[in-house]
This record gives sequence, C-alpha cells and structure tokens, in this order.
Amino acid sequence: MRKKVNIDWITVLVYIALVVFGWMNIYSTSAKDEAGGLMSMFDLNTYHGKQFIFIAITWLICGFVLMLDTKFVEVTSYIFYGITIALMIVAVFFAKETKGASAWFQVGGFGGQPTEFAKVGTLMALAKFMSRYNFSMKNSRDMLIVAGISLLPMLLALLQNDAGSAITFFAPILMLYREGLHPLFLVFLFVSGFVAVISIILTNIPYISAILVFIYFGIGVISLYLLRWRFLNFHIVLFVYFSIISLFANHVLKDYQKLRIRVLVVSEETLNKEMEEKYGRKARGNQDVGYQLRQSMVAIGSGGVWGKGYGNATHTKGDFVPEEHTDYIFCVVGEEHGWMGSTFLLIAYLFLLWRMTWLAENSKSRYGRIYGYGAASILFIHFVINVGMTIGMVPTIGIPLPYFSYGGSAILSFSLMLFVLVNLHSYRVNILGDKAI
Amino acid sequence: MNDLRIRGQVLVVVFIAAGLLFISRLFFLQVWSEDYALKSNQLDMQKIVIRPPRGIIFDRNEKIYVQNSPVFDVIFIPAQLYIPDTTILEDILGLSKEEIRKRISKYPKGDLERVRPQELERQVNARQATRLQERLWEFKGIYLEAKNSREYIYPVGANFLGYINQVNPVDIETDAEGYYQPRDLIGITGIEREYEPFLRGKKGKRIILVDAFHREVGSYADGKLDELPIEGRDIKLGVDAELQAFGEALMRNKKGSIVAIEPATGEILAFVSAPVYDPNLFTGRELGKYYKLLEKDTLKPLFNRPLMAKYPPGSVFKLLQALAAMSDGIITPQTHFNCIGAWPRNKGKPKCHGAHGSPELRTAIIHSCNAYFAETYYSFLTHNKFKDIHQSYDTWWERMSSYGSGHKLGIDIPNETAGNLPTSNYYDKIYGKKSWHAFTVYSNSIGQGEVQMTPLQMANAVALIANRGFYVTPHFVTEKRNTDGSWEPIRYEKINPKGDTSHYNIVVEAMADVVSFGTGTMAQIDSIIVCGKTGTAEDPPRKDHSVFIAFAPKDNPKIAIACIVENAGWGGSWAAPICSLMMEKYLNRKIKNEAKLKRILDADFIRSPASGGTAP
Repeated sequence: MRKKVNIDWITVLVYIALVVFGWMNIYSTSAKDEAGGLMSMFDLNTYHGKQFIFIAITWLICGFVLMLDTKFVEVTSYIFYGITIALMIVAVFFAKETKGASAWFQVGGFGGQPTEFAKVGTLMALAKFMSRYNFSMKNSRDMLIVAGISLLPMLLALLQNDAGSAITFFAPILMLYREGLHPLFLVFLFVSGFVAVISIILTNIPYISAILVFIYFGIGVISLYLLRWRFLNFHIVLFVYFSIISLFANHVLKDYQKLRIRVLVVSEETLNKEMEEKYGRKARGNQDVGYQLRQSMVAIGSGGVWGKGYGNATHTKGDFVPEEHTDYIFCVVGEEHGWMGSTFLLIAYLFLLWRMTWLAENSKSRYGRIYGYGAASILFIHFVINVGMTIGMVPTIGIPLPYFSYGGSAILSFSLMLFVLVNLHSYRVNILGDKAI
Repeated sequence: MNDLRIRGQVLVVVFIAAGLLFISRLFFLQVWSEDYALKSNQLDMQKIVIRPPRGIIFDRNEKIYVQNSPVFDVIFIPAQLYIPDTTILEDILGLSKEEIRKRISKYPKGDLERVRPQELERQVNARQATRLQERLWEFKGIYLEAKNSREYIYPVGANFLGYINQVNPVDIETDAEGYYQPRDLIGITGIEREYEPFLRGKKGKRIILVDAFHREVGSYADGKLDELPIEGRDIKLGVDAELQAFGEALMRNKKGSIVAIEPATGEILAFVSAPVYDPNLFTGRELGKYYKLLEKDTLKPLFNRPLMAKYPPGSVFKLLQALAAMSDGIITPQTHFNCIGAWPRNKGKPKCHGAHGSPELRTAIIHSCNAYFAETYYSFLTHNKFKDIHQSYDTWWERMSSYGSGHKLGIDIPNETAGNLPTSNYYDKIYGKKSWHAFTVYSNSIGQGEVQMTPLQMANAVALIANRGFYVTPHFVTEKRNTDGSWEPIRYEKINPKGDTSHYNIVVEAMADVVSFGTGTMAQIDSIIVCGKTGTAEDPPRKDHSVFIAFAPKDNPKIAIACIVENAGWGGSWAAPICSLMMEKYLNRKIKNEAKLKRILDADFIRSPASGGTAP
C-alpha cells in the first residue's frame, strides 16, 4: 500500500493565510451596518457569512482532493474538461445576467460560474494532452490542438459577454514558454498587445492603422527570418492570431472598453472634450469610466504607510468604491493596512507563485509539471490584472483576486487548482520509492 | 532539459518584477504622493435625500383635516465644520453658546461619522430657516434640511390621528425594508402609524458633485443615479371634523368618551376621548416635553378611552340580552316576568328601581327592569333544551360575541382593547367545573359583574340595532387616493349575527319609547324620532358613570352613538343630552335648544364634581 507523505505544507499554510486574511477583509466591508453595529459573523444574509460557508465547503472538498490518487486526477482530465465546457455552453444559453455578463447560472438553489471551473479543466486537459509520449512542440497538429483546447473556453467566455475571463485563458502561454515555445512569441504577444493599445489611444493620428500594419508585419517578417524559417507551423498560426487581435482591437472593442484603456493615459480634459464633441452634451465620460479607478486609487492612497486600521476603510465603505467585496477588495487592504500591509500581501502572492513553480519543477511526472506551470500562470494573470487595475496600471477588467475576493465559484475553483497541484506533487516520493524497490 | 529549467526561473523573475513594479507603484500612491490621502478626506460626491410630502388627511366632507407644514432641521457635517462666531446661531436658534458647543461635540466618534450629517437643532420654523439661510455663507459645514411636519386645520382628534416623530433606532433596525434613516419622520400611533407606508410615500435622492468648498458643481453622472421622490398618498376619513370639534367642546371638563358611527357603513363620525389635548402640541420640536407633561397628568389624557377604556356596560347590555333570548326562543316579545322591586328568585338580588309588576319585554326595556332580565337570563341558562350549564352558557356567549362584545372589532388604528365577555372556561377555573350555575353569574344579565365593553363596542352594538341585524367593521379611513388622483374606496367586512331581524324591531320600538316618555327624555330632538337607552355603570366608591346610547332617525338611521361621562351619575341626565346634541349637530348642522347646550358646556366634573350632581 502506498502512503502519502509528501504534502507540501508550506504551500497549504500560505494558502490558508491568504484565505483567512481575505475573509477578514470581506468581513470588514460587510460587517458594519448603517447604524454602526457589528453584525453576527455567521449571518447568512451578509457577504462575510456566505463567504464563510463557501470557505468551509471549499476546505472540505480540498481535503478530499488531497486524498485522491494522483492517477485519478490524470485519468479524469478530459472528463473534467468536458464537463466544465458543457456547463459553459449551458451558461451561454440559460444563464442569468449579472453586471452585463451571462456567466452565472443557477440550478435549483445552487448557482455558480462555470467559467471559473473551466480554468482548472483547461489546465488539466492541456497537461494531459501535452504529457502524451509522442507529443512534440514542433508538430503543427499537436500545437493546433493545444490552441484549440484553450481557445474553446475563451470563445465561450466571449459569447457570455465576459471579456475579462476570456483574457485569462491566454495565461497558459507562459507555461508553453516553459515547455519550449520559442521566446520570440512572447515578444509577439507583447508587441501585439502594445500595438492594440497604441491603436486605441492614438485615434487622432491619420492612417494610424496602416502605419501600424506596416510596422507590425515588418517585425513579424524579421522575426521569422531570425528563426530561419525553420518551422512554418504553430508559430505562424500564433503570429497571425495575435496580429488579427491587435489590428482589430480598435474595431472590436466597445467604446466603454476602449475608454477603460484610454483613461489610464489620456488626460481628463481631453476625454471630456472628446465626449462633448461626440455626444453633443456636457457629458462627464471620464467621470463615469474613470470614477471607479479614481476612487479606488484615492482609497488605496489614503491608507498611507500603516493604513487606517482594521475596519476603518472609510473611503471604501462610504460607497465610493464599487464592488468593494469582489473585484475591488484590494482597496480595503490598501486603505486599512497601508503600504506595509499591501506589500506584505503582494509578497505572499509572489511567494505562492514561486512555490507553485517549485512544486511543478519537482513533480516527477510531466503532467504535474505542465499543470503546475499552467496553474501558476493563471494565478499570475489574475494577480496582475486585479491588483494592477485597482492601482491604475491595467485597464479595468472585472476578474476576482484569487483566494481573496468574495464569491463561491472563485474560491472553490482557485483552491481546487492549487490542491490538485499539491496532490500531484505529493506522489513524487512514492513513485521514486516504487522504483527503488 | 536544463535550458528549459532556466526558463522556469525566468518566469519567476517575471513574477517578481511585476510584484516589485506594483510595490513601487503603491509606494508612490500611499507614501510619496499626498494627493490621494487628501482627496479621501473631502467628499466629492454628496447624497441629498429628498423627502416627499406626506399624504394629506381629509374629513368626510372632503375638507382638509391634516396637512403638511415645512420645517427645517439644522444639520452639520463634523469634518467640514467651521464656525467663526456663534452669536448668529445663538440669536436665530435661541440657544446658548454652551448648548451649541455641547451639541457640536456630541456626536458618535469615528471617521465615518465625521462625514455624516449630524443634528444641531431639529424642526426650526420657516421664519428661522429663512433668517439662517441668509447667514449660512458665514459658516462651513452647516446646512438646512427640509422636511414636512404636520399641521392640524381642525386641532381635534389627537387620540385617533396619532402623530409623527423622528424615527428611533429600534424602528430603523427592525424595519425589514431598510427604508428608514436617521432623522426620517415616522407615524408613531393612530392613523399615522396604521397607514404609515401609504402616507409616507417614498424618499428620493440626488447625488451631486461638490468641490473642495462643498459648493455644488453639478449633478453626478447626469442624474442617472438620482431618484425622484414619490409623494405620500392622501386618505379620506369618515370622521366629520366639525362634529369631532363639537364633541370635544361638549366633553370639556369631563372625563369620558363619545363614539359616533354611521350605522349603514361603519364609518366613524366622531371619536372623542376626554380630556382632550391639541394635536398641534406634538408637531414641533417641543414634542418630547409636551408628551412627558401629558403622560404625567393624573387625568390620563393620552389614554385613548373610546378604544381602550373598559366599562361595565350596564343596562345597555340588556338590549343585546333581549336579542339573544329572542333568537334562541327563550322569550317572545309577549313573555311576562314578575318584578317585586327586585328579582324574586334570588333573595331579592338584583334590586330594581321600583316594583314593575309583571312587565312584558317592551315595558321591561323602557323601565330597564333588572328583575325581568335576570329572569330572562336564568331561563336561558336553565332551559331544558340544553344538556347542562356549559352548553347553555356557551350558546349565550356565542350570541353575545356575535353582537361585537368580548373581542376586538378590528378598527383601523392600533391598541384596540377586547373588553371582556367571560367564557365558561373562566368560570370553571374560578369555581370548579361543576360548581357554578345561573345564580353565580346572574349579574351578567344586567351588564354588571365581569362583563366589560369599550365605548367603541357599545356604539357598534347600537349600529347593529339601528341596522336591524348587521354591522360593518367600524373604521376611520374610507377612501385612499390612487396615484392617478382618483379615490379608491376601502372595503370593510359586513357582519350578520344569526337571528331573525324582526326581533330588532321590538327593541327599536322600546328604545323610541325610552326617549319619548321613559328614562331618556333628555335625548329628544325636535321633529326627529330618537331611539336611545340609558345606562348607569357602577364605579364604587365613586359616583356612577353616566352612560347613554342612541341612534336617529328611527327609520333609516344616519348616526349611532354611545357616550360615557365618568363619575357623572345617572345616564339620563348627562350622557343623554350630550348624545342628542351630537346627533342634532350632525343631522341639522345647528342646535336649537341653547339652554341645553349651555348646561352641558358649563358642566364640570373635574374641578367641582358637586355641580354634576344637581338634577336638571
């Protein structure tokens, strides 16, 4: 009989610390009612009360995951992927709209966001497929399947009008880099994103699109020359794909999405003037779009070095910051715990990210390594977008801060993602042991 | 393979680089730049609550009875407060320097409270507000907040109208809707309470942008988040405000009640609880002071007597008794019983006002013969068609209960009292299951003993008789205004007690006789046939309560009334003329017999109880 001895408790402890600290912040936003009295910790009509239940359920399930046979996880990869994709399709048709996205659906008394679980499913499917013995990064057919596995949920997220989640399915490209994708394609990705942003910001320069197309394809051809046309395969596909995205960004994105990007760079006066010309009224476009951003920056900024103290996030709670318990939960940390607290939290995330790559690297199965890097990538993109958005470095994109934001699906799926990795890693010794004997 | 391992480390470096970038950005926002910290201390959005006018209350003649009057709260926002000199405030608000200082320093401490409006003075009048408005520029952080207080065009009926006051923390907490906020006004008692959700309307809000000096610079987001208030809806009462005022005048210097009901509809025409107080006392900021004064008053003006006071109904109860006995076939109008100046069957108890010989029902009612009704009740309880006293008593109880005694009638204001109609269980508990009989409970027959009724229940019983067999749940509010301005009548339950309507006619005939030549002659009105019944409720060791019930005209009655004057003596001499004056006022709109009116207005049973004793 095999024994499970190698659970990485350091990861688990950091994870628990994040979840507990996150819950404390949700409690801080929702525990004080109008009259200023404290409400019960377990009142199920409150966010913190519900989150408490979510966390309890999550931990039960995660404990169960730790006891699973590693092989079981591997074997069920496609099944889990299939189920989550199916649920996403159901959500496209039957979901009810929250905040403009139809990503949330309800069966009986239970509701959830299938997209969150599809992230785990996609990682598992990718890991399963890429750990096949004859898999090769140089095989175009293989790479097209890899692209397909991640593009399918991305497309479904877009159909649900949930662009924020769709973006997160780009994350596995970091994992592909670790597995041997040519580094130039990270450059492609970066350049194409840059081109897209430029084309949105500099709308007043004539022929900007034409100029960008010229520059862009120039870079592309030079890069391919540097690769000596070695493999006209998946890399070409990726290149074309990114090109299309970047060039059409200006036409595909909706006005409010573009405003979210422009508000980071363009001055308030310019935007107001533009809005006035466009809509012929004294519109406060920047106030609408920039409002959340400005308020969240003011809230964080007012925290100072040490913060205002736990439970004293006056700006956040004065209803100035919207969605303070979900997407803008970082404002509470910034305001109540100041620079020291925020830095401490960021370091905790960085530590967890590093530890995940360590787990991935030290897991002897290929499946575990691929999965681990994928999970780290997903966590990283959420971390960058969510925190970056609250401090005005990334456009406003509504995705949760893992382990921290309010929401049952998010806490459960991100925890599953981590605990599957811990499970995969935990079998390392046993596999060696088997061989040794 | 090693090459790819390095890539993993490259990724970790990318993670750390992003983290460091964020940490330095945070350092800039939180530590380096003071810009953001400053911005958070000043509100750049301000929410203004718009309180809609409360619904207006009309009387039955569509005259405005209760309307709104604008008042202003003076509020301050601690974080903004700047008062260079308090003399202006002292002068306009009439407060001392110390008082102002005390109020400004007395607010819940905490950053959140610092930006919330706090109260400096509540409900200043329009003149003060105008004066203050002109000088507000000299201060910072002081504002005027408009709201609506009540104004009573007819300063009468405080007992049933209720009043409004600032909502208290308990009400805010227990309000499931979460509608109320501090400084909102809420109906506290009476109609204002019962119809609160209807009268109050719905608050609106406006979100404005203010600059660093808190000057309004425009509405936020083009007013997209603003909500218009919804006005409170009007209601119409069945009460005749002039009749109510007249009734309150008649009851001056007396304790007691008058309840007048329109029999066919159950609408309450007047609802007097004496001693009375002016409802306008409860509209200003002195409300608390007046409330305490009235609460301490030994005459208990805040006690809503017509609704809550319980009296032995006395001989008024005999009418219902007669109806019950006839309905169950115990007596017929022709049944005779002996009276020897007392009830012969029970050692001469109860006593009678004289030996009535062998009266039949009509005569017995006219002379209020105790012996007759005691014998009737005895016959009822011992009738051989019932198997035991429990069955007979329960049958009797059902009858009396169906006439509207012993339970709440469901009037549309809070705090109604049920009165008392003892059940057979009650007697079982006191005397033991088998140990009580008709002689134990005989005093019920003449409305003494445990039986108690409120003035409202008595008036309702009169309405039942006037209608010859039904009553409508008595109520104040008859119609409510729809949002389109039309009036929508409110339907109330019509109750038909079992029994033959012809039984009522004999009671009505007898009541007409009571007024034309019996004990109630003082209730006569020229050219209108009045039906009435005197009553005398004992209140030992003090003088009896004077009780009278009546309705008029005899055919197609328009008003049913009950009046109780506490400790005034015999029913015929005080309650009867008060009833007749009320009915005359309502039916003819004027009083012909001024001597009668003057006698009542002058009567004083509070300062000089002796004067009440003089017979007319």
